[in-house]
Amino acid sequence: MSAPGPGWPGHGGWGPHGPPHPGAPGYGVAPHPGAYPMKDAHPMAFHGHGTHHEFGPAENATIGSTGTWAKALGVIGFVDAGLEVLNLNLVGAGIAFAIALAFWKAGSSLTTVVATQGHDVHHLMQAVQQIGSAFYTRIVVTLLAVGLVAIVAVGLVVVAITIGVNAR
Amino acid sequence: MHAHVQPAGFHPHPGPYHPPGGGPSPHVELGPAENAIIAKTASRAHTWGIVAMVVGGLASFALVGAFVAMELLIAATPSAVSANVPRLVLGALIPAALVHLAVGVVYMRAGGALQDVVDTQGDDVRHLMTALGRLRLAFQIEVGVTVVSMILGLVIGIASSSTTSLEVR
Repeated sequence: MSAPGPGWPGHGGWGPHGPPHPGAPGYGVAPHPGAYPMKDAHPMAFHGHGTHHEFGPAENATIGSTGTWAKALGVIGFVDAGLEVLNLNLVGAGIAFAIALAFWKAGSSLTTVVATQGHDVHHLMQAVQQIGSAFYTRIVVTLLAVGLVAIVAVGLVVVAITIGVNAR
Repeated sequence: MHAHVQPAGFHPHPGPYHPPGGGPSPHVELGPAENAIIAKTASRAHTWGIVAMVVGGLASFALVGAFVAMELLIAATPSAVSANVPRLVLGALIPAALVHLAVGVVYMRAGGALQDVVDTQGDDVRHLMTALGRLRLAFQIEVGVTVVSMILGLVIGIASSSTTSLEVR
């Protein structure tokens, strides 16, 4: 891959197609017309080359702040896991820890997007994957908990009815 | 410098010029691997949003019912035991359950924005940023509610132990 150059707006490198050729004014340096597929004929399209994309300052601000809050949610989850351990609820502690770790990792990946250059999309996809894992764990645990509560509630109702019937 | 000859069908984007280092990123289309990851997380975010809404709604309903039942019971059978602690507990849980419901809506919308990344072409970055913004909002709400709940739990715990020690005397 050729060394990074001034490139066009928001881009930190030339990508695998090498440096672009001079083009029409108003677009910075436009690529060679044959450099990109015609499916999306935008001169700055990066079909399948997203791994080399660098986000701009506005996107970095959004990504960075989301990463910070994801980490904060992770910290809260770790505290919750600690409290569950103190309550001797080891299963709950384990679940809380797993969810907290996923959010912390997602936050770390998002802040890495802002702090580094060259693998923005890769780190972003890592973060998205971690967030998905956290949601999956929450969904499974919540549905299991609701199911258990429903079973216990039905059981209590059955017991109450049985006692009521026997009392008569 | 050679003349820039545009081939047939090549249409420069009519958008404004973005100076280097500033402004939004140019159009980016993510590949199939990235779209698969985003689609899976979009589905899970949407599902979690629905689950959170349903659970939050049911919990709110149940807690309001429990609060009303408790008040009726206290009014019907006054006792020496203070009802302030149960009132505090239920009073703290009801807003938390309602916020859970609201957060569910935000997560659903975040899932929708992520799905837009997969379903559309030409605005992947914009949809991604929208999704991240909504996720940030959901995280902020969750962190805030959890911190307040922890503080309230601590206060209720202290109040409960104080009430118990006063009754023992």
